[in-house]
Amino acid sequence: MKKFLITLVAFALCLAAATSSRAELTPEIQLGIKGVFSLDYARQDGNSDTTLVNFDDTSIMLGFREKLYSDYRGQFVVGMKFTDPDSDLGPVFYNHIFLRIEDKKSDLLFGRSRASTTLIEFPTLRDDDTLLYSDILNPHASAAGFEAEEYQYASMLRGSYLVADKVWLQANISSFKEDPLEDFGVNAAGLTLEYLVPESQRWNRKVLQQIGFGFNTFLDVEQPGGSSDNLINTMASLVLNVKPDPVHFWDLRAQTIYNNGLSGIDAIGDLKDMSQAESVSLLASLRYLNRKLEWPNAQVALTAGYKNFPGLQVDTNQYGFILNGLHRIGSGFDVGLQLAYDSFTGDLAALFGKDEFRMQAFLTFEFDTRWNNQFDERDSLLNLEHGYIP
Amino acid sequence: MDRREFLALSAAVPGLLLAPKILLAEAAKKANTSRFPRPLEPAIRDGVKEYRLYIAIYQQELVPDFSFHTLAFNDQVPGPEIRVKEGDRVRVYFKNNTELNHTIHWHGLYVPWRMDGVPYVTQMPVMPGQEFIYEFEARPAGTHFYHCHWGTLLHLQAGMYGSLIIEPESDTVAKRFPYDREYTLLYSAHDVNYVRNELDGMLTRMKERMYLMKNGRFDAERFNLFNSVDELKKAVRSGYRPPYTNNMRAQADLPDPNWFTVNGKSYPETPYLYIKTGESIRVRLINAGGESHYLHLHGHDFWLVCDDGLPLEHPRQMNTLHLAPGKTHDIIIEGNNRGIWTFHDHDTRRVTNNGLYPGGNLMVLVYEDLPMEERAVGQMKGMKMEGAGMDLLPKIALDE
Repeated sequence: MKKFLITLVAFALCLAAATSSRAELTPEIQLGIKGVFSLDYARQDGNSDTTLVNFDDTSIMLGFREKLYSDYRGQFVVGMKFTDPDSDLGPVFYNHIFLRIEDKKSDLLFGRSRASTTLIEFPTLRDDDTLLYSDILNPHASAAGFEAEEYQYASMLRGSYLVADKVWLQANISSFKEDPLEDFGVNAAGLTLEYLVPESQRWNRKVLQQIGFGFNTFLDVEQPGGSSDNLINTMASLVLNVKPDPVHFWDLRAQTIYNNGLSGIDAIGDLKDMSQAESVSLLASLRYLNRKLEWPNAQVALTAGYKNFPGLQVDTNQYGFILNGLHRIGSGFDVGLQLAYDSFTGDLAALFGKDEFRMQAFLTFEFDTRWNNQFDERDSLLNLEHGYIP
Repeated sequence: MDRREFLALSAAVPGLLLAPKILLAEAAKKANTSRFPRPLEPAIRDGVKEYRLYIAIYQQELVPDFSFHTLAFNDQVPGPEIRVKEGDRVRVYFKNNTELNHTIHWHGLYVPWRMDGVPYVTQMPVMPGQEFIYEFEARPAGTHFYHCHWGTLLHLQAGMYGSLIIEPESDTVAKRFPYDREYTLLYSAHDVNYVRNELDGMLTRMKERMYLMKNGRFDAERFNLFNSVDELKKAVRSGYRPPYTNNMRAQADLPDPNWFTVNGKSYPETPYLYIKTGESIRVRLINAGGESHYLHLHGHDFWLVCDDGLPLEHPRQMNTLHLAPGKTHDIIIEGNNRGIWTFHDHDTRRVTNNGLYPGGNLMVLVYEDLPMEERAVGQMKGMKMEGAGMDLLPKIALDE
């Protein structure tokens, strides 16, 4: 709560500065808010559990952006999210703290942000609902408990370059340390190549929206015998507009990850083993979006995942389904229901139980706004289709 | 260096043509002509003057190093000048090369009502890729303008305006105030942030709408289009949410202009009005923007001779003129006080660029016969500027 109050005070000071002194350039101020509240019911191996209020994934993000003296733009972002009720990270986790410099064709990010361990997002209630399938798992994470933030976020130096129309080449070196303030050592590196239709052009009726390839290497991963080795993961993704209709819109997205695994991992006893074992995962979702009066009205999505660990002594795999639906009751305000089922066999059954069913009734709210607006987004329709203005 | 050498040098250095030091060079005066609306030449077919206008998204540089996306007729802001004789038959082929809807309204003209360019009132909008033909007889004589009447709040300040001059058979103004040359000045005010955000939003919406239209799926509610108020009320009762309601659109989004232009440019790119001692010039003033301007000329009175294009029976002498949105005024300036004189909006918020004075619609009236020696900066004790080449007036000042 203290961190939250400090952030609010800092924001208030920035707003005050924006409306008072003009001695210096006042940056554009961006605010993004996402509130995710759910009533959860879970049943694992016959035991049920109910959580009255779960607001994990609720987040606030502030951005401060200005034009630099060249054609570049500079941005500072600080964002925080509220964690799981039983998280060891405390009630608030700063998931975004970075400086960014970008121009028409390049983008450099320095700080903590979403790790490049996944290529696309899936239509689930919370970002970590499909983490075991959708993300390259971090072998440097603590083995004690599952903290999704340790897998999703990293401190990094990440550079992206537009090598051709809609084709981005991205490279990063990252630090998945628990506390980068104490140790900022690089322990991961990655490279991705991605064809990506910008959000503003999603209605251009093109079938192919995204296709990407990438790999990530975790450096000096400790092995059970005490030695260390590099752990390589490769991934590929695809997003298709199945029916690019503005009223009845269908899309399909899929991602696969292959984890080379470390030699000597032939059983999974904890999460660290899971991240180091050879595995193949596949996650796919089909989404229907209904729009009314040019605003989202309702959405239904079915997501399915499968993961196999071929190098273990015991045949081990997992699969799961998530079905959710939501209805928009106001601008950015959604009410809905999510049903999820996961099944685990082999070593994973001992770790997670044989199966788990979750039902979540949810209410969410999100919006983005800005003050002191001065320039356009790089990916706006004007900048993309009618000449870029720095 | 004497004046002759100076002029020769200026002609050899085109990049410096509009620097104040060589303000009176012939090349500079010639270059200044590009700061006025370019005339559109007609084709004559069966006695009808035919013009072709198209609209496209275009980047307009208001001043060096500041541009914004505009909607421009024939890639010009303002659009080209249409100049005809009173009684001419005029036909305008208007092609829409944008992904937005448009029309053309002929402001101040007695056109047939179906040619008036008001969407959903006199015609359906000219949709992306479509061409519409306007045809009318040019009357009444005078200074007029044309502009888009679709999404007027946005499209007008985004650049969709141009001058339309109808010359009378007998020019009563010229008879009473014989003038030697004339200038057309179109004023506008732009909230470039509003223009950018709204254009982006409209382009996004239109991509959806045109997809539906092409597939024969016109949806009246999606287009916010009804045959009657009763039909709208019925839709509201059935759950339709009008776009102006508080749960659909946040308030306080009205434009707050931060750039002010004359002929699509802000100071120091605004045009010079050249005059000579003993000459008279006619200036056609058109306010194509949404802000009022209070135009004040230093060192002179001028004659207000036309209001909305119509000659005044009793011209009035004044030095400050209220040019309201949508108005046109013709004034006569008599060259009787040699010098370089400021002509500017006395609502000084309008002589700023992005909030910084000087800028906006600041202009100068320049006497061509002004001797070079009168332009010398002179010397102020302790403030010698000659070494920096700052020896002649006027200067281009960007921050006072």
